[in-house]
Amino acid sequence: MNVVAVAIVAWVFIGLDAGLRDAFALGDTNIAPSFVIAFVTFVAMYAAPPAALWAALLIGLATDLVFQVPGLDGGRALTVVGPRLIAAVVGAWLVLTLRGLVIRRNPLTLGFLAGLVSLVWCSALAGLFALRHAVSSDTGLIPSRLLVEGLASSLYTATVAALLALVLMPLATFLGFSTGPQGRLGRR
Amino acid sequence: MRAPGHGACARPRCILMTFQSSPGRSFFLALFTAATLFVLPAGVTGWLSWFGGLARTVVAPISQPMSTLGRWLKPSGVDLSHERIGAVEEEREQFRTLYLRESDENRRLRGLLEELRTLSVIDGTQRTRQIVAPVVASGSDLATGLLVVRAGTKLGVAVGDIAAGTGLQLIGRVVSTDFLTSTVETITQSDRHLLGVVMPDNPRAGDPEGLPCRLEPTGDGTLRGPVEDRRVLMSETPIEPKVGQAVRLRDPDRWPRAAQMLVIGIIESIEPAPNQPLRKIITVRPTIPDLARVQTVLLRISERDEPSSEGPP
Repeated sequence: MNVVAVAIVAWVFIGLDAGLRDAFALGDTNIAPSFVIAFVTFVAMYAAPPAALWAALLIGLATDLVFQVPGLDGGRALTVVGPRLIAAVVGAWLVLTLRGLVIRRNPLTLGFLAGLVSLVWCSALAGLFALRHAVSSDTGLIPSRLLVEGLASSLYTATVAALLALVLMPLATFLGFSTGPQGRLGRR
Repeated sequence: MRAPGHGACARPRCILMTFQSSPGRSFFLALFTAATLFVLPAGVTGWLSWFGGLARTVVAPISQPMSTLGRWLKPSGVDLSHERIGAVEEEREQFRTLYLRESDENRRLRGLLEELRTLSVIDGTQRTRQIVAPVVASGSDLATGLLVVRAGTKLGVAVGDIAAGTGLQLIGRVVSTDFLTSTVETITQSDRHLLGVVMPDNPRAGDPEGLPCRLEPTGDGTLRGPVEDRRVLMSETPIEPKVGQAVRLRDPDRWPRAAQMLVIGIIESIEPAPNQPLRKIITVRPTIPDLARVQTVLLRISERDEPSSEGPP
């Protein structure tokens, strides 16, 4: 894996999430695709396992730092490190366990796996914030709402990821991934 | 980062075995640290906001063009075709806001004088500075109503400052600041209620002060809440709110003076309160239909003169 190339593309995808996510939102809801989830899934599909997990951890950390969480009762917005980082690692782990069973060169595969990762991601976020609320309720988030919106966003993310595959797959060589034929259970 | 060759096994057991190594232990240590930081209360992890500001600054060069593109694809709904008319209307609105704010302040001070009948100490040193700040990012998987704008503590922005939009529409308030960026929470997505006043069509007749109301965001871009039951002076005729009337902020206890009398929105619908049919529930829509989609905000920064102990040079 070309670490510099992956970092640059990750930077672009975080920028896409920060700038474009709202434009794709359905009505006044927070149901919108996540470009970062699609990229984490793509990296986990092609990179070696430790590299994929480290990449997920660092991308998750970056998104945790970039996107703030609203404070309780309209209070100060918070920088909370951990939820997306953990969600990204769990999502990458899921892809690593499934990638041997799928046809990676099919663009729909990225859509399918990104949808699954998004489901896990959103469930993890909802669960983690429910846990945090039990410890200290200092954020203005409602875990049940996060879960519902997240589940709906997963379908959306899957659709967008399938389209993004058409852009990402040609970039695989630039990112230092091998797209050669794969064998059983992920052995290439 | 340790990245084995392409022959690496992807099965869970293999992945676990890979992490028996020293880099693997580092990974789990990083994960454990993140989990620990996550459960700690915000007061303990406040120093992370510095890194957050740094990360937003790094992402801003890519997120701003994306944000501009997104706002071009899905604008906020303000018709910019008649810019000249818009400028005149904005100017008129500005003077109207100023007039109403001063009237409100005048009324407050009269009340205060009446109540105290003593000399009041009034802080007259407060000034307001305005900065036009572009929105560089907005929304995330966890929150929709947070706008990141390109103006931070470097320009004097502080938590609690006000963000307004076209026509002096109140957009929200600054909830976090970094050196170069700030985060604004929009009024339609906040979980905090607003105290406003339904402005009368003719202030000389009926109720010159307007109808106080308490509005809460509904989540669909509007605010909803009950209006106070008031009667025409010297009469028992109730004063009714009307669709199309402007609602302005009057919440001096929780919003700074620079925010008072800014427009919250226009009454979109009126319905009787379920438990009290004589009272009305109003639904108010901001004059900018989607506050989260604005391209720029007008930050109204409250400045206070520092009391100086030194005399003139």
